[in-house]
Amino acid sequence: MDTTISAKSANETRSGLVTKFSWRRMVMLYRFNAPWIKRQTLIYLIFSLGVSLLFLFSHRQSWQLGVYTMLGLVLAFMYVFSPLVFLKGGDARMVERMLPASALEKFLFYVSYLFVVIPLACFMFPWIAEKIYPVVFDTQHPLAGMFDISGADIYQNNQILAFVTGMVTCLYCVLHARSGRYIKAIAYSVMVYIGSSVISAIYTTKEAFMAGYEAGAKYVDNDEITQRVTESISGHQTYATVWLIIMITYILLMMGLSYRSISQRNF
Amino acid sequence: MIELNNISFTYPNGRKALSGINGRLESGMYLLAGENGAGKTTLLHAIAGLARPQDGSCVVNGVKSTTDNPDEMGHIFLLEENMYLPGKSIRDFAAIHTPFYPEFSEELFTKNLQAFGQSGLEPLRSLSLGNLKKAHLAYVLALGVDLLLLDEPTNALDIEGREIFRKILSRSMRPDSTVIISTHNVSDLEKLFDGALMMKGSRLLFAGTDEDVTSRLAFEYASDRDDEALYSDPQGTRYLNIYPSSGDEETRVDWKALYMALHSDNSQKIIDQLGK
Repeated sequence: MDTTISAKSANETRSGLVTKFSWRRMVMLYRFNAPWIKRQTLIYLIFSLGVSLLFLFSHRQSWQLGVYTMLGLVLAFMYVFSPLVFLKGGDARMVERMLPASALEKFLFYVSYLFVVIPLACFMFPWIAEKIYPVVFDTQHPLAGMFDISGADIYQNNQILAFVTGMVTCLYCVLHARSGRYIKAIAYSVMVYIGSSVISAIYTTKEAFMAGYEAGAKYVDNDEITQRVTESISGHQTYATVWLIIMITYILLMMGLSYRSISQRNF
Repeated sequence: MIELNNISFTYPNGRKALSGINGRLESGMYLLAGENGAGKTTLLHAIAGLARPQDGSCVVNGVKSTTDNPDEMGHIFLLEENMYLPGKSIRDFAAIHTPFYPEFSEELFTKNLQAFGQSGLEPLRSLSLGNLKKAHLAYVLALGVDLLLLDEPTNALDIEGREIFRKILSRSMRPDSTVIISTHNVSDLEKLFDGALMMKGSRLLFAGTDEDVTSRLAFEYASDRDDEALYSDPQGTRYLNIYPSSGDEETRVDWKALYMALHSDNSQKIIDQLGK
């Protein structure tokens, strides 16, 4: 064994190696996680298909609204907790952090799975069901628009983002927490979701209240009241927009922290 | 080659795990020894790039170990004590993990498993701690990495398992690879070590090869303790006395005795002698 001191000086240390992004490694990351994410995706698809069929076959049933709302909420929370799959039934972080893939590749794997694959698995069938419902029954479903968010207004967007804030919190806890990751991931994501959805709900309730108030104002035909209501609604939309921006900022912050957690590899 | 350049690491809770670690290791098999809490595991993490030192750096084959470069990361693997490898069986894990390690040898993996009396299809959750360790070792020794770090690999292994591990470790090693083994059971692998890193209280007291030691220290057995010796290690009915080397004698390093000497009241004299 050679024990002579190497001539390589510290100046020669290659610390700034350029890493080219590799799709091949992205595929390898999907393969590495395949046993767990395949099972999760399949479960989510089956559940969302079940919810969608229930949606279609519950036409004019008395339990239609309650059951479908509840199942829709379950589906949304399945999305919030989807990053738990990366715990792989134990603490596999050390193996994952040593995996020869760049931090960007690992990060994009999480992003593509949680922002593309899982939303499709959760919401694709309900979205199709909502599209089919009026064609089959020649009438709108009472909860139409719950999953078809193409025409969503700012208030609906806020409600959707409330779930996304929960999901990114869950992801950050899964990647970063040193202990009790299941509990922390669930607890913090629920707290963040409740916090953000309560604030969204306040605006939504206020919106409904103001709409009724506006109708009342029209009924008495008082120009001064109508003007005040219009100003109030306008102000409320500003608050909703601010809250939307806050949630987007929070989501970006959590994603940034998750990336930092992956890239630093500190264990 | 591994260069440890003045590495210091403190955990977020304020516990200092590494203080000014300096050393330089060529290829070979090294013992990493130190008392509980000396910082052995943290040093392994730093070498593997899993702990980012506040000061200094660890350079493996000319590249900082914390560098975000997949090509370089593919040359290092750390097997921790009680590490969780996800998968139903070790072969399931290998199927998803080996695409990242092109030097992995399926043949060697199967050989290693057979040596431990396993097929590789045993459910990992149903294996005892010792058998789980055997499955892990059979796998990582077939990975073909340049730098393999093993944290307490012989813990939980039975006597036969330790012997088999010693054999498959020596056959799995490539001449240009480096293995650093953190263990308290020095005698299990003593004959395999080409060198050692000895730690005490977050500091690295010695990092070098057996030649570095024997060129400066002589290990001699005697029936009595010698007060002239730098250190006398009681070994059954006799003593192993450590003296400054005159350069003539041919002695073999006793790593356990050296460790005890470095942790004795005379440790400074030993360190000074090794530093000459």
